Amino acid sequence: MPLDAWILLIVSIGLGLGLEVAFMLARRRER
Amino acid sequence: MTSATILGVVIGYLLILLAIGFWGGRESGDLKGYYVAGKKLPAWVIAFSSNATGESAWLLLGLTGMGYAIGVHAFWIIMGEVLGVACAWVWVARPFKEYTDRYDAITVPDYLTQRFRDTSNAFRWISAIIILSMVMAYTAAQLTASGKAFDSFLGTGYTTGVWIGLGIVLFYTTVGGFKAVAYSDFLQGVLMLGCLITLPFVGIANAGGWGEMIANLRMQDPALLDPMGSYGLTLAGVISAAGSVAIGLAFLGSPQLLTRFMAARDQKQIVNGGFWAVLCVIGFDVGAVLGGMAGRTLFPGLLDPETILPQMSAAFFPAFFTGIFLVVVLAAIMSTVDSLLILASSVVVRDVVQKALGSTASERTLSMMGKGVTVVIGAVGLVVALLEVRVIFDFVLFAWSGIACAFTPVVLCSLFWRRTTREGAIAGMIGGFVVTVAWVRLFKADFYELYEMIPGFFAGLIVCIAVSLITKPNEEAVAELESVRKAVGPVF
Repeated sequence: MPLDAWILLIVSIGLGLGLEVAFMLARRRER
Repeated sequence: MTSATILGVVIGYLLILLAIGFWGGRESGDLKGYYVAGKKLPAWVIAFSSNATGESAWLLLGLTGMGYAIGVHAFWIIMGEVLGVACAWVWVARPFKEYTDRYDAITVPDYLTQRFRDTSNAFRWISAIIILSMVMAYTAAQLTASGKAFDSFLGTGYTTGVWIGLGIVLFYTTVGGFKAVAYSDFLQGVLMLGCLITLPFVGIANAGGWGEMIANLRMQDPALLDPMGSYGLTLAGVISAAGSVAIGLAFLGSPQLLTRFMAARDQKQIVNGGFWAVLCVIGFDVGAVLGGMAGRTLFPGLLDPETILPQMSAAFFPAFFTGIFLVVVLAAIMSTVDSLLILASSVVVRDVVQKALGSTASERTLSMMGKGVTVVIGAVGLVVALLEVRVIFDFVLFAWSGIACAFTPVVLCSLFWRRTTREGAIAGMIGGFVVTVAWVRLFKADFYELYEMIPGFFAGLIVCIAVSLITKPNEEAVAELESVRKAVGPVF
């Protein structure tokens, strides 16, 4: 698969997943 | 023999749903029990249930079909949905849960009415009109999918398929209420996830491996591997990509999804559920698109790309698994229809009959009325589905955006902007909905088929902000927003 398609796939998954993981880590720190 | 095996799997699945209906029935004696399962749901149920409801048969038939038809251009849809789900759980869910618990609200119009101190019941009436009209369209589209699925897998005929699909959903929804809806959605979500994780692996293996699949797609049409698709880097390509990303906006404020947050046991369930919801939607969407792309290499030249999933399941799986695939398609349909029916019923009984018309009937009587209304709304959807068989997914996307554009901008403003006023919120709801409908009817064809979610959402947002700026917010509501913010705490 071309590089630009890989980048799009990784960004598509990574943005949302990264946001959720950052949120979870912040909650854990708070506890 | 093959049909008998498939039939056995389907009957087994339907019996499980009926059992869930009976089991959930214990909670459905009053309105809070019938419409939000007594606000006792755990994280894993709300996570899978919200995704299963949000996705519908569009995921299994429509998105696999898009992977087949447009290849990696469909990755933009993955971006929109994953971001939409993540933002909903990170930003929207906790303040919304805090507000609705304070109000003891069980519907979204319930929340809006109390948030804006509305004594005219305007939110309830407007919501009822919008939700009922869109739910009819959405339910009819899902029942059409049910008819097609039963017919293509079991040869039951379209009409019989529609009847069977509706009959089962009506049973467990009316008997078991929201508890049965949420737990059956959980089961259905797990089945959908299992199917969509398996499908691309089997498809890619049969296509000769990843490298072979990509080479084959490149040979068929190089645009299948271009993120901007056949449009290239043009205005039409950008509009198409933006429209795909915008599908995710609906996760931020559609009532059928917000109901899950309301029904959570407590805030902790929301913090824990978000991660599962995001993983689940990634599995759903990546599996569907890659499965469709693998299908393109195996079955090139299909007249209807939306049939790629049934084609692959029949070709590469034994009869038992073909039965499972039919069950998964039915699961996607039913998990959406049940939630829509109970949403529409809640608006009629709670918002119109109990609150707007001031009925003094007992909770038990109203709960029974809710069950009756569920049946009536299902029957109307049935009539529409039987009279008018049309392209399923255009209809679904229209209804999805109609509800989303009426509610999402207003819900977001109500949670995050202290200056939002009652008048602004009412105008925003009407503006978002009207622009969505007008865009589809009058403008869409002349603007590169721009998906109605974008003009509808931004119209709702702009109207809500503009009208709020020229009217005065309720002081008590402003102070309350600050107190909710403090209770919920910062996001990061």
